[in-house]
Amino acid sequence: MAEAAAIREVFSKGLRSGSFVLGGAVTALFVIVAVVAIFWTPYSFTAMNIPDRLQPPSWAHWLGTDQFGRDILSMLMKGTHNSVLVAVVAVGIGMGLGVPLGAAAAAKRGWVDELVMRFSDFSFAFPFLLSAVMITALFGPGAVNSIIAIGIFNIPVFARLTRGSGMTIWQRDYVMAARSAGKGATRITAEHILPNISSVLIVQATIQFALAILGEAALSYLGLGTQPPQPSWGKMLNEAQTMAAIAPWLVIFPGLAIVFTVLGLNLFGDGLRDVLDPRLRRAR
Amino acid sequence: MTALLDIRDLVVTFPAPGGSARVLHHVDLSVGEGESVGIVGESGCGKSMTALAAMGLLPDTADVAGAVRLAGETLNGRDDAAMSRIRGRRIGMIFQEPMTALNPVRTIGDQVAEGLRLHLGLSDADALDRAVAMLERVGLPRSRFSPGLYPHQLSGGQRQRVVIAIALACGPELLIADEPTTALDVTIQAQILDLIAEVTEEQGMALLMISHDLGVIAETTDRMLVMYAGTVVEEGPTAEVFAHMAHPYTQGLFAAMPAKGLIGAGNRLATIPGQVPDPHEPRVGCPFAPRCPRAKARCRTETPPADPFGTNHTVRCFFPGKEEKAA
Amino acid sequence: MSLLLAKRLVALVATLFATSLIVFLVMAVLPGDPALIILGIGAQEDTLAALRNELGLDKPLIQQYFLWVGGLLTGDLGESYTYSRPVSELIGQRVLVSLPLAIFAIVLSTVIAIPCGVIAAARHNRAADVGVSAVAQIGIAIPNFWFAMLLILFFAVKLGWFPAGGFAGWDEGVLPALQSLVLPAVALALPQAAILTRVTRSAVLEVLGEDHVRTARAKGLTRGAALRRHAVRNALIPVVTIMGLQFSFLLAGTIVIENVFYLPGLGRLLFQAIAQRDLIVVQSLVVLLAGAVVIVNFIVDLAYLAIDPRLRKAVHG
Repeated sequence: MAEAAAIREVFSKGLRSGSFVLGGAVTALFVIVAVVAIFWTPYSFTAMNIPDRLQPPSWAHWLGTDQFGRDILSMLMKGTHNSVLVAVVAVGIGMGLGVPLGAAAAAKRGWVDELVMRFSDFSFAFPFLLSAVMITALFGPGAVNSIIAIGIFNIPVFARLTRGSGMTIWQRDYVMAARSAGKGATRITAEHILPNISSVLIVQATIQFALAILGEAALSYLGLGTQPPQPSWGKMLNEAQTMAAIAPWLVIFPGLAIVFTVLGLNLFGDGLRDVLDPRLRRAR
Repeated sequence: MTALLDIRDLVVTFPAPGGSARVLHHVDLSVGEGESVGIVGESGCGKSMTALAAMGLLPDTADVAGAVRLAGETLNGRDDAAMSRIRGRRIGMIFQEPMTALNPVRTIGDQVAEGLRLHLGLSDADALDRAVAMLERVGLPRSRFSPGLYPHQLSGGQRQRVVIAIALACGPELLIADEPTTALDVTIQAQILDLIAEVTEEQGMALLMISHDLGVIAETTDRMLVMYAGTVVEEGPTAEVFAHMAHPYTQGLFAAMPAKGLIGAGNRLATIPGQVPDPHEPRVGCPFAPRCPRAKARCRTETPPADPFGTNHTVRCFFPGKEEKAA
Repeated sequence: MSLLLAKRLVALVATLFATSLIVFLVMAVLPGDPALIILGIGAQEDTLAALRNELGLDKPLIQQYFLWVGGLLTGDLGESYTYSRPVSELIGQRVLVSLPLAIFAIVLSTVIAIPCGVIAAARHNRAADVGVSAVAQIGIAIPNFWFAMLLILFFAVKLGWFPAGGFAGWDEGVLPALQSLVLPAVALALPQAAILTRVTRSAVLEVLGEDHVRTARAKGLTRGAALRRHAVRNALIPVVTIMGLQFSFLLAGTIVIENVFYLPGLGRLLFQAIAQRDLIVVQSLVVLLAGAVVIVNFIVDLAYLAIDPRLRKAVHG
């Protein structure tokens, strides 16, 4: 019952935060479209219909058609699956490996800490896209490899965050009390550290989702991401480039889809931060 | 004695979600030339607000009504540029936290000299010379403390001396000290208080000392005000107020101090039960009534005016005077 | 102080070595035979053997690594298979496009972002702040290659002010060359400027809340003077370090942008080399770019040490 009350509190605080409402609405819209697209899109996203190619937006095709007659709206809707898949799995990898690493660093200190910090400092030195391009290009393009490439770069982000926030919790009085009572590091981490930093991690996760979507779009644009026939917004932009002058809608709509989704996620992350932990709010 | 700083009927209100919060209720305060006046009260009673209002340093959202006058000239309502010429030049102010009061990336010499260049138009070299002299005056001789030092190279007490040097650099007529020793070690506190007393006397400066510590007020002021929840509840010569506490809150403050005969395990400090009124709520009657041992029906409905109690001693209470004495 | 410097230099060299090692290992782990990858399936066995020999692939891994690093340090980066020219020559040519582009983008982004961030912080929660923050928020959500396409559509195709792609070359004159860099630089600068604006705003706001700004006002500085002389100067310290980190984002951006605009720079070279399976070029270029990032971060660290006196240890009493 405490959880229900907590959730209600989150919502009531959330409704007061503009970012939460706006970001939440856009993100919810994205999720709804993604769910709907599992079952239905206006047209089949692979159906090529040459007589209807390069149609500007009309009642038949709300967002127009591409050079093969495919319906843009349907492709955009299906494209949400690609974005969701990549973002969720990549961030999942990042959290799944990064959080334990960071937690261990915060708990053990000493050489474990040093190692984790050196490793994460080092990965920050590598430009993300450079390495992602290299990995996907050399090991083969495709959704799996781009997920791995993006996921790898999420690990140091979460490791660092977990370590930093975790260390502050370790200094708190109730943790000292638990230690004097004889609780082991693993139990303390599970019972005290992780629950207390969960809000920080959730907020970061939404931001990383947004970054993952942007990263995946760039990789798909370069031809290194999701391969056909699965539509991806980045790939749509790549294909639109040669047609841009005569069919600008091919460029505008996929781009807008990316912008709105990323913007929505970022705003939602900001709103979550406002709601979950006002202390996290530095100068906004 | 002509009033140097004269505050009449000061009312400060802040906007708040769901209405507004009034933090100062018709505050009257005056400081004569060369006089040392203290304001005592617990955290949140409005003593700092009064000082900030005098300096024009309240946030823009604050609604300030009433009159603040310096040597007869009206200060409130002046724009930022005009107030900037007063701040530092005619009124100096020092604050509570010496550890964060100084800019960490600029030298102490530069920070003292800045005001001199600004207000007195001194050249860089002259300003620095004067700054060094000022630092010497506050107990940081050049032989041990180069003006090229950075704040992180100094201790808390030393930083507070620099803050004092900055406040006094242009020879202001009034020094406002807002809890200047609260964040310092006890041994350093005495040194800093002595320094403040020395310099203000030497320059004939007026002093407005704000503190929650009765000991500090006793040591440094000729006259004192007791504030509670944004109202001045008692005012008079310091010795007089200490001898004859008129307001029940003042008595409560004194009783809460550990007294000589009562030290030792087993003796409990007296506390004042209850809490400070919420500034968001409209005020009816005496603000102290909910916690006052002597409160009667009248206290809850009428606001007590400032009544004389002794020589130059006023109190806002319908039933002032001694109940039981502190030992 | 020099001890600190020495430690940092050692760390730098160590990081550079680690970088080269990682790049080498990634390439070594590549599935398949490099010679086959380079020459393609139809190649003859003896050609393959000759290439393997030339690339030193028959030698033990460790030896290959040191040979390669040795080459890097002496400037011998190998020869590109596709272009049959020394890699160093290729890089030398392309750098003349990428470097001016990067500098152009950094300048644009800084000149826009820092004043906007300061103004937004100074007018916190008022119209200017809300406007700047909203634009910055949108700016970080825009993929730079999409922005590039929009820029081309509008400024090149529609208005004809700038070329839609390609690089005029420095020999044709400075102005045409710069013209072909304008749209790419703007596209690159956008997300950087958006991030930098938010960082600047946040840094200035944080400093404005600090006690020493109140001391400055109590001293007699006007709001504007306190902002300029205390808040902004202090806030620039963390902002400058972020600018250094932006270099690596910039590098990532050039890979994409040079492809959108068909600019013959390092990013496009990398991309083409990957497409053509020219592993020698890929290996050298990646380590060079990564090394550049490491060195820039190092310089930024040093600059930080120089600007912030709190980091120089000294105790006085």
